[in-house]
Amino acid sequence: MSSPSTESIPIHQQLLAAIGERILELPPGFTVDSDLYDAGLDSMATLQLMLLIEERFGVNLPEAQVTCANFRTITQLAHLVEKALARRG
Amino acid sequence: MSDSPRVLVAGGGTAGLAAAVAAARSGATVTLVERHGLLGGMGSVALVHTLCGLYELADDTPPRWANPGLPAEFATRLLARGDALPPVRLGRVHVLPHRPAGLAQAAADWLAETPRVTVRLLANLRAADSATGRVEISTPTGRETLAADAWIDATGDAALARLAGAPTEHAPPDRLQRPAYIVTLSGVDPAALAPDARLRLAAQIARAVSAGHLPPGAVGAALRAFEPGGDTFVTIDLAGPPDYDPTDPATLAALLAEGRQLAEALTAYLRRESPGFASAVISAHARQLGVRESHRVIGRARLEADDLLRGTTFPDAVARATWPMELRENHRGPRLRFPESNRPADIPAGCLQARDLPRLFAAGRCVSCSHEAQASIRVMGTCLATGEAAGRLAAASSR
Ligand SMILES: Cc1cc2nc3c(=O)[nH]c(=O)nc-3n(C[C@H](O)[C@H](O)[C@H](O)COP(=O)(O)OP(=O)(O)OC[C@H]3O[C@@H](n4cnc5c(N)ncnc54)[C@H](O)[C@@H]3O)c2cc1C
Repeated sequence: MSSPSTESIPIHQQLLAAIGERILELPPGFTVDSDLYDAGLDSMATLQLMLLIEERFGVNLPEAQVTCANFRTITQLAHLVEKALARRG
Repeated sequence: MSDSPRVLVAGGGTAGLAAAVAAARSGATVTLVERHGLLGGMGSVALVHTLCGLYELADDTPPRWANPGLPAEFATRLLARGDALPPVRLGRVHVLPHRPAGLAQAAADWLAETPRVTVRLLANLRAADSATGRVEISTPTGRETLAADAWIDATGDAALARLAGAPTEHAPPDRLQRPAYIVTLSGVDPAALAPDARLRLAAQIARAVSAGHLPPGAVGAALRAFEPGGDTFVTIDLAGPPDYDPTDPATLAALLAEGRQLAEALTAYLRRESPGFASAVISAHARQLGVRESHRVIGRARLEADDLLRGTTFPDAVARATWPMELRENHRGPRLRFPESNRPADIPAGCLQARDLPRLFAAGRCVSCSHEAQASIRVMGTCLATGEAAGRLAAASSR
């Protein structure tokens, strides 16, 4: 569940910060459109990222969306989170 | 043969293998002492099944050896025997998947073909006297004393250094890299482990844990296929107790029991709930807990995280590290710190030389470095490289 203090921060910024803090040491110059796999995201880290998203935003990503391609950039992920939040209403 | 220096290598993991070959090729007469009944260390006994750190980091070029000496020689042997698959690219790194039993046999053949190497399996180090260079081993039938002019500690645990009273260090128990338990499954449908299917499988396991259908420890499980139709490896990272000590027999026994139980529970669950696993069975259990980090020898130099991040060069470089720092301080997966550029970092000779004992050298995951730096240099490609360097240094030191 997003807390009031983070609600005003755009989702992609929240993701960028959380990934850098919990999952990967992101290289300088890494942006929301950079390739996470090139930065070292492996399969176990991808799963961690999925769990992080579900925990932080209180959403469940539908199984069909859990694909390697969808986890390539933060922009793509932020988009999926937005859709999941909208579905939740 | 009195002019051939005698080198004792403690430990027959990847570091000890390369140390023995390098010391013998440098003219030494080598005895390698290994407590298990087979060679290979974590890469066979614990069922670790991928060689990392063999290649330079690269953005798009084909793989290039990070250390062209014995690491490349051993990897080439594995490939030629069919015990390793060609390098696989994962982002900026290349890895070499290998078959643990094949690595053990390739290691045995490598040492058997090397003149002046004697391998003592089922031989446990019991005592070491730095004044005389003698070590005592226990075998299933008794005790023996072996004499040497130089020692190489390739035990992963700095066991020889500790027996000899040389100073060692270790990270606090809550920061030590977490251990893991590995099993292989046969009968898994390869399609169940294609990239997207594998990610969904991981998600299924995580959700089954949250729902209480699997024990909490199963969240540390990761599955990987060696090749289509071959074995599937299940690596279960374990949280370990708050006072986790990878050298305490009671702790190791408890973690082995936990790993075995989790592997059985997970396999039963997957057989029931995951179509690709309907006929999966556990085909092999690790014979030893997978220990990533333990005690380290205190050397004349200490490799630090900054050296790896910046790709520091040293005038007395003897090996090169290329693997990102792979921190596994919890059991929920790695946190990776990549170097700033693709340039390898040098490992100086001082990291392989014990600070206080001039004839004691360290190789593999117990060389002198910080907790963070060890998260890079522990990988087997780098262990082969520090092993080779320690072997040369030890042979030269006693000439
Ligand atoms: C779960 C897990 C996953 C890993 N994944 C990878 C990976 O994908 N790629 C990679 O490259 N690396 C990986 N690693 C790291 C790597 O496997 C180890 O760090 C590396 O194998 C260490 O090699 P070593 O020769 O220094 O020590 P070890 O392989 O531990 O060998 C030490 C040897 O010394 C022997 N020994 C110890 N004490 C004594 C004694 N008192 N008397 C006699 N013999 C003794 C032991 O039996 C052992 O055979 C992983 C490690 C773990 C635990």
